[in-house]
Amino acid sequence: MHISEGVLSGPVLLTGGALAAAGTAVGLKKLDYERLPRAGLLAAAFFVASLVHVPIGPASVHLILNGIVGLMLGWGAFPAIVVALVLQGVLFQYGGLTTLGVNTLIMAAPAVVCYYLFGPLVHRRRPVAIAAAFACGFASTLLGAGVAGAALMFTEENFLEVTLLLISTHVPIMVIEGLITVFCVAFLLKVQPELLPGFKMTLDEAATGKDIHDT
Amino acid sequence: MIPEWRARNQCRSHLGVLLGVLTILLNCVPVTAKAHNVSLFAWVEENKVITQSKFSGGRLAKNARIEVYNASGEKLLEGRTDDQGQFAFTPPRPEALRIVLLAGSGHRGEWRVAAEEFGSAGSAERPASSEAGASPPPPAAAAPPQVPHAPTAAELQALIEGSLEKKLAPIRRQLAQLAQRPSLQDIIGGLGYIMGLVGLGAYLQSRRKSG
Repeated sequence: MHISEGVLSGPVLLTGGALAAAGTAVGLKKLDYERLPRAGLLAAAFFVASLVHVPIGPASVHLILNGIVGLMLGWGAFPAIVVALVLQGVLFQYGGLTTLGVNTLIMAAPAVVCYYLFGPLVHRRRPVAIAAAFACGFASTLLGAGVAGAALMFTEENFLEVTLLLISTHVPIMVIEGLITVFCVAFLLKVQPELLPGFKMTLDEAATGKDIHDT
Repeated sequence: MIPEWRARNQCRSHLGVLLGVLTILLNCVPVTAKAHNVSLFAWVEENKVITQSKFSGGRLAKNARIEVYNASGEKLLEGRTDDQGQFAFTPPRPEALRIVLLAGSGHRGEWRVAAEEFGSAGSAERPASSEAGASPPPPAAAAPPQVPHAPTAAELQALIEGSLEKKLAPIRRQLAQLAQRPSLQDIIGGLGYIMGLVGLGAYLQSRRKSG
């Protein structure tokens, strides 16, 4: 899902860079003291996940994890993913610095979209939550392929062809991403539900929480 | 809302657990290593340039476009890689080349071949006359009386360079592959940078809070 240097034209790079910078600015504003360690943790997971290649299907593709990053960080996914991409570019020769903006957009924009689409669903009944989590992991990769296809549209073949190729090579990853997101969400719901978006405590919990706090 | 102190304590311990679980999970998936880029490597064998193209994870880049440029940016020729991910060509002149691999979907690799790499046969012919004149005479002076076809200095040099080139080619290939693989230091270093940035961010925010 990383676009190499020297593939895209100047205007595409600039547009991608500007949009990514805007997203990062919004994300940094929303990263308060409480969310900062979480962002670092997820940036680290994202950074390392790219080394996990899944040798299924025609092309060699790797984990992205942008679904769970988006779900747990919202707009904070932008700064987390920028940092991880810079490090991947510098240390793994992966992507590139001129394509940083476009690559950020490819992976962080779907993360934010998934946050708004599926975030409100994860605290519903269990089957709904599991389905939403799977869809979140699946769709974040799918949308990423769409954004990458849009960026490549101006330099390579036509949009549909590139996007379909990207999507078809990433199908195994989409399924795996979906499963990982289900796993993470199920785990978080059990131990730390307030890390997931849209968490509202029931009256009982709120009452006991208040009690403990007061005493 | 949840009491702040409780939330923070829980947050710390559970995030640790989550990190552990994520690490284990990541390790479970078969790792074929290497970065996600597509890599191109080329070496010279007797005036012929052989290119090998690979995706990250070791998969060969088959039927990918290869373009060859010279130092001034002129496109000399282009072709496609075969089932082994290889493409061989003979450049019109032995000179510095820039080989570009376009493997589709935004994958692009590049490799430069220096003019000196064509040392063995191509360029040895041109400097032969000057070298024969400039090189010290001992072999030539000692040889004539014994062997009628003693190799001249230039021929000897060409022979040595030719066999050296053959021996060095696989080593060059290995070197290129080693350079492409992210090392454990890279990974740990990257994680360290992220932690450092979190620390920096926390410091800045705590200053803003107190200040």
